[in-house]
Amino acid sequence: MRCSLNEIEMTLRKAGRGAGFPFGLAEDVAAAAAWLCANDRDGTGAALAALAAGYRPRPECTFARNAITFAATPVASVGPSVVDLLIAGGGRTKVRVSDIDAPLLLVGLAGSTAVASLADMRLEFDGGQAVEISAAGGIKGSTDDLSAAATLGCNMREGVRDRPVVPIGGVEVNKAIWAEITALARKTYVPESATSLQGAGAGLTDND
Amino acid sequence: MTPAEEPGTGKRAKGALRPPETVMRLSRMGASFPTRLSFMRSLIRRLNREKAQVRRAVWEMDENGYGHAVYSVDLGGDTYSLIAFSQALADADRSDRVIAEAWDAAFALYDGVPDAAEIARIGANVPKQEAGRYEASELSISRANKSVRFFGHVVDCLSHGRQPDPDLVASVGYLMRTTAVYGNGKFGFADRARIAQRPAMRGSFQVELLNVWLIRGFTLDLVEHVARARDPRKFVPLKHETRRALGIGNSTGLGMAPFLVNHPLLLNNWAVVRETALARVCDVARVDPAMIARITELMARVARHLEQWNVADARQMTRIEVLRREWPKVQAMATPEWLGGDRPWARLVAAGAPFSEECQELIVALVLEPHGDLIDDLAAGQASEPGPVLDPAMTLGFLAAIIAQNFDWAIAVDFTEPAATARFWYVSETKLEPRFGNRFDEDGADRESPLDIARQVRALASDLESCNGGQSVAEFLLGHPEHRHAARRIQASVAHPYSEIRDNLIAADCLPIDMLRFKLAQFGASKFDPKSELWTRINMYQGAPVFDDIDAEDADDWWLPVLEVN
Repeated sequence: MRCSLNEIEMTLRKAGRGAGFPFGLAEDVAAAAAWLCANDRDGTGAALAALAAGYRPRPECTFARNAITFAATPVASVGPSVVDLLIAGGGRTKVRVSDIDAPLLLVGLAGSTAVASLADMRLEFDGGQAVEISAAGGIKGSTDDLSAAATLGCNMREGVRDRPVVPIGGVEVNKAIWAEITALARKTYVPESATSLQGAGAGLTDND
Repeated sequence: MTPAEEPGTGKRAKGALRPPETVMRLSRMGASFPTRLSFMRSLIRRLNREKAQVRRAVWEMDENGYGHAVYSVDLGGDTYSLIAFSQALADADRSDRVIAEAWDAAFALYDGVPDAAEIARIGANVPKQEAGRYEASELSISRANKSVRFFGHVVDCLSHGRQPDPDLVASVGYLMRTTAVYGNGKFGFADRARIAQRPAMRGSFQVELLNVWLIRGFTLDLVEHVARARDPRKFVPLKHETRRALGIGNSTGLGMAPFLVNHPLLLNNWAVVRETALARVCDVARVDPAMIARITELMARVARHLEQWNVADARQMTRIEVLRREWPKVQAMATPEWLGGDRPWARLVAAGAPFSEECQELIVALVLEPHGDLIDDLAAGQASEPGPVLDPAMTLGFLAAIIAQNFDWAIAVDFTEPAATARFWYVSETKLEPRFGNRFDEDGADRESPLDIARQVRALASDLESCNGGQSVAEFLLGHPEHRHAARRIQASVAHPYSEIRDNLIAADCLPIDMLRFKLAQFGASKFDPKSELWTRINMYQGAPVFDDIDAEDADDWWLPVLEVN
């Protein structure tokens, strides 16, 4: 089925909350998925895989000079912080991540942040795959069959961020995946009741 | 902290802007009036500038006005088409609620000119609205219900060769009211990115408001069509003055309120544009007699508009009555001699301080009105921009300083008091309608929507107290991911100081109607007619040009319309 990018992002924000994630993380997962979709990758599948793993905050990680290591990387819970630490390091820090549960979503988080924070990102996955993302929004390198461990680096750019070019005709989304995402989003909705109707606007009939 | 920038320019605003702690309070936002920078006004100016011509390419309606029509208009080099479907609707099914499932009419704004196959495809979906599925060629969809008694009255009059009762025209003011206008990628239709770079569509809500303006024209054609079909020999068309006096109604509920919280940078841009415009106008040193005559005329129009603004809601009617007592005092003070002195607009705005917030905001809208040459360029800054971006390198000491400076209103709330958390926002399972619940009486608070910005900031500030101020935000959020959303908003407030509604939106005394009024005034709506603290009816485009006089010289002169249709 075809969805708009806004529809994907807004639904995934709710799905993230429905899966038990704090809103701020849900926002970043949703933005990453939309970025992947805009770049012809399976963003919804990647996001669903990460959300399905559940909320697992406060990971085990070690800080050394210009190197940070995560022993396990549940991407929806930790991925935004991985990218934060990379950006906060101003291009001097490398972040090593292992046991990544949704590697493609990590690429998406790097991608959406690259554009927003004016940073060129490089993700070197174990096994030799490298993915490069430019601050202008472009992506180079295969994202098929990414391994579960990688080293991330970045270069900060000066200037003003551009609006990335995005597909204007929407993107194709796997129907089964979308059904699971909307089911998660539904967990944030409150069932109808007589009391809840009083909290809504407008009358029940308007024949005036 | 940096002062506000003029949105989209990167330049600091000139002059002193009213501070966000004044203008971003809910009570003042709930006293907003449309201005010449309101989005409908900008759209009509562009339509007028381009001498836009609306073509009715398809009109397949039976004698009862059921069928479909297509209108096309060229704007900024692109063609947009309204596809309208009208159907019979039982009274029992006529509801303005989002939970309604059928309407008198349904509409899609199409990018280009639809062929028969496209009309058929859209016709199979758009009457179902949210239950339909759309393509990227659709830019906006909407639906409307008749103002049943008034629509019938107008049909009856025109088919008997008479014009409708002017009092009814004045008191109702529209033939149909829309109950939702969707844009930006809903239900599969076009993302805003499709049109965001088109000059005519860069501003806020231009595509949705073009949809509504075309719908208003359709309602005028529809009522005349039905009247003509009833008795072609006696039929007379609506007088031009009446056509202009009829806007398009709208029932607006809580769906608008979360939008303001979910788009903090857009909220900032709207407020900064208005405040920058006010600062520019207040910098005017002296004005000539023609300008004094113009503002005097506008003050008289305000007085007549206030006379014609009557609502059933006790709270709003009391405020209107206060305004009616205050406005003559404003007029009495602002004599030609008084306005002939130095910095008349700055003095007039300052002189409003003892009056109600409604009166103060009305004065602001008034002084902006005759200064198109000075301020209309600012409308370009009302567009959206990418959302807040986290600065993970910021130190916690700096983050705490921002909170102290920009969020003192949030820190001051004692969230252990039940009244501070008495309400909660949520989304109903039924057609995903936003609602405002009572936390201690209703289920659903465990699924609360994150509009409790003050509480989120307060919680973050509490956790900051035990942290090292030299630590980075990135390290803090690694241990406190629950604060990620609040951290991003707090940081955004540095460059966007008007990005937050500076009140606790889950307090027992929070009135969502104030949020609705602010947004609707930005749109350019007038005659706010609250039906409760949760929803309101409004009139859009009342007094604005219709299809056949969009190129008129007075096309931009419809601020606070006054009905003179006798």
